[in-house]
Amino acid sequence: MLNLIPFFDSIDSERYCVVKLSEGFPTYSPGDDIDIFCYEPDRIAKKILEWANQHIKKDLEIKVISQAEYNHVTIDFMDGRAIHLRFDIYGQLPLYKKVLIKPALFENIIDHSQPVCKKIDNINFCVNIPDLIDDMLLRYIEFIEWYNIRPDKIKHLDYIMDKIDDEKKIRFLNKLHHYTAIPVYQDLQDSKLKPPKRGLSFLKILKRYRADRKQVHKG
Amino acid sequence: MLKQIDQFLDKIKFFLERTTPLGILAQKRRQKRGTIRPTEMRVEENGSPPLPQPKFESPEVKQLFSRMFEAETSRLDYIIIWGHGIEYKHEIVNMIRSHKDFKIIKIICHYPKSIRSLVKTVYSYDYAPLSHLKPKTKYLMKTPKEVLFIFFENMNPDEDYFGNGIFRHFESATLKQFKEEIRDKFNERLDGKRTENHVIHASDNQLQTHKILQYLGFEGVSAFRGKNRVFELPFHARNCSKFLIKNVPVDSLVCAIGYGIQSNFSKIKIIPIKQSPHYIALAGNSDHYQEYKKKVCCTTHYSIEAFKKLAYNFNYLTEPYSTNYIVVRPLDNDKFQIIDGLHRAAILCYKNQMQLTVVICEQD
Repeated sequence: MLNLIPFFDSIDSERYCVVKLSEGFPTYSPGDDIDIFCYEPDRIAKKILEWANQHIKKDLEIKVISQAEYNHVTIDFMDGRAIHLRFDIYGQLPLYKKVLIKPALFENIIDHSQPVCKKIDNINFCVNIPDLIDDMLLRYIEFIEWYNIRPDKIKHLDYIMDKIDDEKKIRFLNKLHHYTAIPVYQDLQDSKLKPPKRGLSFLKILKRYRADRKQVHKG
Repeated sequence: MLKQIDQFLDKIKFFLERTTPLGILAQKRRQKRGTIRPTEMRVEENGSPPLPQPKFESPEVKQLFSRMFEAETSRLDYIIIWGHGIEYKHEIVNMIRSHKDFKIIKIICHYPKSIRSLVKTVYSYDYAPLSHLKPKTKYLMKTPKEVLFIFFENMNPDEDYFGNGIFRHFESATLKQFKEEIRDKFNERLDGKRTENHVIHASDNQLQTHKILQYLGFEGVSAFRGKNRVFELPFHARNCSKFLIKNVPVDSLVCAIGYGIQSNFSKIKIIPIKQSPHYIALAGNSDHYQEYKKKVCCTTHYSIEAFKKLAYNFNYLTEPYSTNYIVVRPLDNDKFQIIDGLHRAAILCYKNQMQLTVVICEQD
């Protein structure tokens, strides 16, 4: 188990937030991932590597994938072939296909993030996490994006149902409607669905007219 | 009255050209011949004449040229040390290296076949016409056929307009000031005054750097702008986007050492670190290293004294170089070829380290 506290101490002065933070944090299960939203992913990645220099000696390999075009860095701590812990560092919102999202949501989430402080073994440390409404929004988007492929994503909906009340519901829906939209057909370029026919042919209209007239006569 | 009739007939002609098949055919033929009437006469087509577009050579060049309007401030520049200034190359390179806004990316020794063609190439992309530059560059024709290109990232270009009339141009104020410092220091002096026989020339904009890189056989500045910004990588490894950091045995590391004559240094042999001139120099015999240093243009390498001093105080992956890993690429025979960090690897090997933490770079 890697000690995450020194890492979060080292990025204390950075603008970032950890999204969908697990309740047991800073403990984690092998295979878990930590998603970080920040303005400078490369800087945070360097901080992770500085912190990781202490851990490489313990036969952990580190895989780094830098996707400059998406402003995204993935750092995997590998235990043999299995991922022990993954850091996903985003400099912009991840790509979602099923929901259209205004890019400004990303900055809004970081700017509204709040520190959450914990005490583990008499050591205090703080982690920035999103505001509850933003957290619910991200989880909702995640659920919409993946529910048909990953049934376990229902946990996000359960979380929302657990946390939401009438007042939060209004704020949540307002923010959801402000920042997101359902894509129209033109946006679904990959979709194989065909748009519905808008007009009926003259013969169909005639058929329908005759059928209606028959019904009227019978009636 | 006749004028009005002429105008009216012209209008009919325009109308027929646009609406009848024969007229359209005639218009297409004129387009093919290049005798089509100027756009401003054909107001009925586009409403108003389009704004004149600047003529860029290609979309890539256009993109590079228009970078001056982007929020990203850093740009790629180069300095060329002419043949008569080569004796000061160490001092000049050290001055660039110690400048807070410059970060050296690549140093290239170049032996042109003809100094005239090199001068022409360098000044072809200058803001002033070549005819104005001819008398100014006459002194270069007598300089030795050996030049040094230093490409670096200018992190604070501070661009502004300089000069008057046809010489008005856009330039980095930081680089302009720096090149004047170098010229003040190293230009030939006559009666205590600095001559205008400049030992160096520097780029005015990134387009010039792009063109010089193409002249040297690179694809352009894109070759130096990599996908990765997490690691400090040499320019030839900048296309990597996937990396693996792991401990590898020192014995599995090999290095590519060039040999051959100085101006044709293209032959490479792969040898273990312990056979490299760097390791042998640390072990006590510095002749190999000195010879190698001379061949590879020397500026990217330390002097033997500086190298030994570095070895004495060296701590790998400590602040502020905690992510400056030795970069390797995998070979077929379970070996790894060092592509950056041979000095560091030689030091660690000399200090009897059995395992080294390296970054294995997977080319895209």
